[in-house]
Amino acid sequence: MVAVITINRLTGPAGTIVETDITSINTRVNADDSHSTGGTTNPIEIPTGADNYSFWCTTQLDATTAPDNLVDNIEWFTDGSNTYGTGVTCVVAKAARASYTIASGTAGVTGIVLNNTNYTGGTLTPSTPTDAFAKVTGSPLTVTGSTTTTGAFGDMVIYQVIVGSTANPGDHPPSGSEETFTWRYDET
Amino acid sequence: MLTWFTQYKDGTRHDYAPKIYDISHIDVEQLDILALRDTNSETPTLVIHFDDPRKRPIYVRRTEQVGRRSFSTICHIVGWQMNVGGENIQSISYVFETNGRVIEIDTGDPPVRTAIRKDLTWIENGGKFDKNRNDGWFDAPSEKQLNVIGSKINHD
Repeated sequence: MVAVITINRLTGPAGTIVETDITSINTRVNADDSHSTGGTTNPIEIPTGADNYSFWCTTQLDATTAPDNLVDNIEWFTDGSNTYGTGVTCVVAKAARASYTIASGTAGVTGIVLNNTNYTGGTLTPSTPTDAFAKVTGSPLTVTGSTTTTGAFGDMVIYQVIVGSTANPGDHPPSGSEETFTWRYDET
Repeated sequence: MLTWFTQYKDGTRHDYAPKIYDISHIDVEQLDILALRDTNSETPTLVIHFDDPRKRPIYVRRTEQVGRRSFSTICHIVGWQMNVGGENIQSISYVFETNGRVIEIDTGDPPVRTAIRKDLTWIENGGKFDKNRNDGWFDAPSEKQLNVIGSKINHD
């Protein structure tokens, strides 16, 4: 059977992770640890000084129907163009599922920065998350893992939106547009 | 949606059937053709002939799920490789298809915008897998994946 693969967003505590299927829909990366397609309750506050952060967003593939043989060669990438708007960037890293760490911070203001110090469940790769828009189809983020069965598989891809003081206030998205991130994988 | 079938040198045809006849079940030594066809048509979209005993088949299904996009794009990477005088020669076809693409058209009088499913298929052909083309569609699959059909990449 051709595998059926979904993209899940992971939220909640490590002991009771909530997996939400976000395939083909948008998910807001706000200053809270939840999935919504249009939530405006906890936006990221534009700082007057140092950057503010979204709560990090954790995503992972899940096979709801197993492949005949194997799914591997998992990759994640962007279109290479940051259109979030002035003063808004995004960084990305990956980590093994066992490392899952709940996103935290001050709801409606800022998340804590995504780094190996705050990501207490394990190790991020790279240890300092890098510009998400440098990950493109010809030079993607290589995601470790494969599957022959059903269930979540491969490393988690974790990204965080960074908002600087030059960002523009207003409804989402401030002055730019939503971004689309792509997963790619091989199957037999 | 594309599926595949094989024809062996004895003339027998074998259609893909999940867990019964999948890529791992192909008898490479008996393979005469490997063909892709739409599930709604008997007319093949692409036929690969194995007319040289040195040709080893390649088949991997590569999928891109683009975030919020309502449809996925699938590339059936199908072709062959063979060793000629110590050199690994490859001929790879990239058969793309969308899965679930919907467009709006005008229907009726007065016209009313109506959503219809309109998937697309197109084919590109190339030689060796080539990461230098800077497009992930043309990267080599893993050796483990190629081994499912019994075709190892020769890294010469």
